[in-house]
Amino acid sequence: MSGHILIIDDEIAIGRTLKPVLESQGYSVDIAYTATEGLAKAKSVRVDVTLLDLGLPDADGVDIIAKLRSLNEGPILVLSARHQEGEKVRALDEGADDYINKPFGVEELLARLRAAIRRKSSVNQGGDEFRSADLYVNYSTRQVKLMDHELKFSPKEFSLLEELCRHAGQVVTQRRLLLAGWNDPNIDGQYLRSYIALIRQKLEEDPSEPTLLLTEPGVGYRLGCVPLQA
Amino acid sequence: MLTNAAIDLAIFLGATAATYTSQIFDRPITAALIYLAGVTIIGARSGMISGVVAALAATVIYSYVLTEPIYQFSSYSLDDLVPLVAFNVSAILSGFLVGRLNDRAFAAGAAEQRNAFLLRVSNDLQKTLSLEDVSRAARRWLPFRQIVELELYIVRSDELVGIGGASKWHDAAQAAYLAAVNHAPPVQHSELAMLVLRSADKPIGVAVFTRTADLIDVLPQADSDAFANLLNITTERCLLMEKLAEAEIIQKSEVLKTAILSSVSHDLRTPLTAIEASATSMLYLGETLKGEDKTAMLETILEQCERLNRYTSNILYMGQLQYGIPEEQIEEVDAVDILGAVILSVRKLFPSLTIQKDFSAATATNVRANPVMLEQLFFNIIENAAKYGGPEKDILIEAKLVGASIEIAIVDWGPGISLEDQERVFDKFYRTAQTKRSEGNGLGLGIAKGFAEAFGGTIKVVSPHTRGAGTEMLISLPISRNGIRANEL
Repeated sequence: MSGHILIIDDEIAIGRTLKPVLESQGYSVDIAYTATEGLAKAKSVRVDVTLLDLGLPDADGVDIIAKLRSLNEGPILVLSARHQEGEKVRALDEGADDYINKPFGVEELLARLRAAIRRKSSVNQGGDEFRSADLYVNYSTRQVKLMDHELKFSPKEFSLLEELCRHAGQVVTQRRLLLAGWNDPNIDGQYLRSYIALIRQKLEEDPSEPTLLLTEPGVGYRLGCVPLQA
Repeated sequence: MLTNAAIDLAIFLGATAATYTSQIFDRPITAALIYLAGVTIIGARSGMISGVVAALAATVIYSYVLTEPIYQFSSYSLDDLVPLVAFNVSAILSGFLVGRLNDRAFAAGAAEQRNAFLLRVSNDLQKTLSLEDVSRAARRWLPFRQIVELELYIVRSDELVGIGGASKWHDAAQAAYLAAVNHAPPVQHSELAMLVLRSADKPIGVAVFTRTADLIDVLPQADSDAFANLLNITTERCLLMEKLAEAEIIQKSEVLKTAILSSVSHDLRTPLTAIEASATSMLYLGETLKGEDKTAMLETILEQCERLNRYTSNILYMGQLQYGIPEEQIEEVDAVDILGAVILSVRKLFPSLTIQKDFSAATATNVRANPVMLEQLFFNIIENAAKYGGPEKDILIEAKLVGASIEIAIVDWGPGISLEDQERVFDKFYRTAQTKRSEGNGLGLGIAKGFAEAFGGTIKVVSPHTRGAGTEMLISLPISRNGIRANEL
C-alpha cells in the first residue's frame, strides 16, 4: 500500500507511534496537532487518507470535516472514543468515511486504512461488481451469489446490500442506508432493521449471530468481508 | 328554596283549614292541637326562623280569626283567655325549640360533611411525594368554598418558583412573599387571596387563590383556613423530603467517590505496574531476553491495556448512571441483534468457550435503550459467566418473550453464587471472595443492573438455578412494541 496520510491529533504520543508504523507499511505521513494546522496541510499537499481526532484544542473535529472534504478527495477516518456514538454518527453524516475507536490496535487501523483506500479507488474506477472470498454482487445485473449459489434479492434488499458492498469494511450509518433504500432518512428505523434481518437470513449461516452483516450499535451496519484484490 | 317555602305555606294553610273545621265542629282543643302540630312540623322542616314566623302567624290567626269573637282580639272572660294564651305560648315555644333543634342538626350535618371533606383532602395531600403532586392534589378539590383557582409558588435558592408550570400570579405571590420576609403588613389584592406558607415561621412559599365575589363571606372562613393549613403542612413535608433526597444523593456520591478513589489505587496501579515492568525490561534488557519472554511481555502489556480500557469505560459508565441517561440517548433497538453482536465478540475473547443459544421464543425484540449501553450490559453479564462459569466453560443464552418483556437468561454451570453474595453482587466495587483474586474491578454487574433499570428493566440472579448448579442471570427488559411483520414490508 502506498499513499500520503495526514494525522490530525493533538496527542503527541499518537503521532510519534503511528508515524513509524505507517511508514513501515509504505505510507508517507504528515502530522498536525491542531485543526488550523491540519487544514493548512490539507491545502498544501495531496492527502490520500486523513486520520482525524475529534477532540482538537482549537476546534471540534466534526466541524472541520466539511472543509477537509472540500480541500481533499481522500477518505477521512475519525479517531474517537467509545461512548461517543452520537459524535461518530454526526462525523459520518458530515462526510467522514469511517471511525476507529480509541484505543485501537494497529491491525485494526491498517485494515480500516486499506478499506478506505480500496473504496476510493473502486469509486474512481467506477466498479461494477463486488467480489469477496464468498460473496459476489453485480451492481448492474443485480446478481448476488454466495459461495457460487445464486440468491434472490428483492429490489429494496439489493439497494441496501449494494450500499453496504460499495463501502465494504466500512461502517454505513442508518441514515445512509435509509437514503439508499427509501430515499428518505426519516423513515422508521424498524423497516431498516427488518430488511437487515431478511438479508441476514439469506447471507448468514446463523442470522442471530451475524459474521458478515455486522451491527455497529448506535451507529449503523458494516459489511465484515473485504473484496479480493483485483 | 322556593318550593320549600311553598311546602311550608301549604302545611300552614292545611293546618289552618283543619283548625277552622275543628272549630266549626266545636272542638277547640283538637283545633289548637292541630295548629300546634302544623307549627311544629314547619319548625322541624325549615328551622327556627320559619318555626317562629309560623307560630306568630298561627297565634294571630288563631286569636283573631278562629276564636270567638271573630275578627277582633277582645273577648274575654278568663275561661276564654287561658286556652288562648296557653296556645299562643305553646305555639311560639314549639316553633322556636323545634326550629332550633333542626338548625343544630343541620349545622352538625354540615360540619360532619366539611370534616369528611377536609379528611379526604388531607388524605390526598398526605399521599403526595412532590410539590407538583401537592399542587395537583389541591387543585383536584377545587372549587372549594371561596377558592376557585390555586397556584403554588415555592422559594428555591432565594427565587420564588411556580410549581407545575404556575406563572400567572407570580407578581402577586412575589409581593406577598417579600412583605412576609420584610415583616411588612400582608398585601391586599382585590381578586386574589395570598397565603404565605411558612416553616418554623420562615416563609417558604406562597399559595395564591382566586375567589368568586358571590361566595365570599357566605360560608365560614374556618374551612378555607383548614384547607390552607393542610396545604402548608404538606408543602413543608414535601420540601423536607426533597432536602432529604438531595442529602442522600450527596451522601451516595461521596460514598462512590471514596470507592472510586480506593479502587483507582488498585485497579489503575496494578496494570500500570505490569506495563511499566514489561516495557522497561524490553527497553533495558531487550538484548539479553529470549524471544518467547519478549513475546510474553508484549502480551502482558496488551492485556493490561485492555484491562485499563475496560476500567476507564466502567468508570465513565458509572458516571453516566450517576447523572442519569438523557432521553435523547435512548432509542428503539433490537435487543437480540445487539445480543448476537456481543456473543460474537465474547466467542473471540474466549475461543475455548461453548455458547449455546435459544432465541426461538423471542418473538418480539424491540426495546427502548441506548444501544452502546445495552451492548455493555449484555457484555458484562456474559463475560462474567465466561470468566467465573467453572471448568466446563459452557454457557447457555436464552431469549424469550414473557408478557410484555423480553427475558434474556445467561446460564452457567460454574460454582454458583452464595446466597449472601447474591444480595451484594450488584453493589458497586463488590467482589466475592472468589472473584477477589481475579482481575475484575467489581463494577461490571453493578453497571449492568444500573443500565437495565435505566431502560425500565431488571436483572436477577438465580443460583443454583432450575437447570442445576451454577448461576442464572435473568435480564428482563420491557418490549417497546411489536416488530413489523414480514407482510407489511
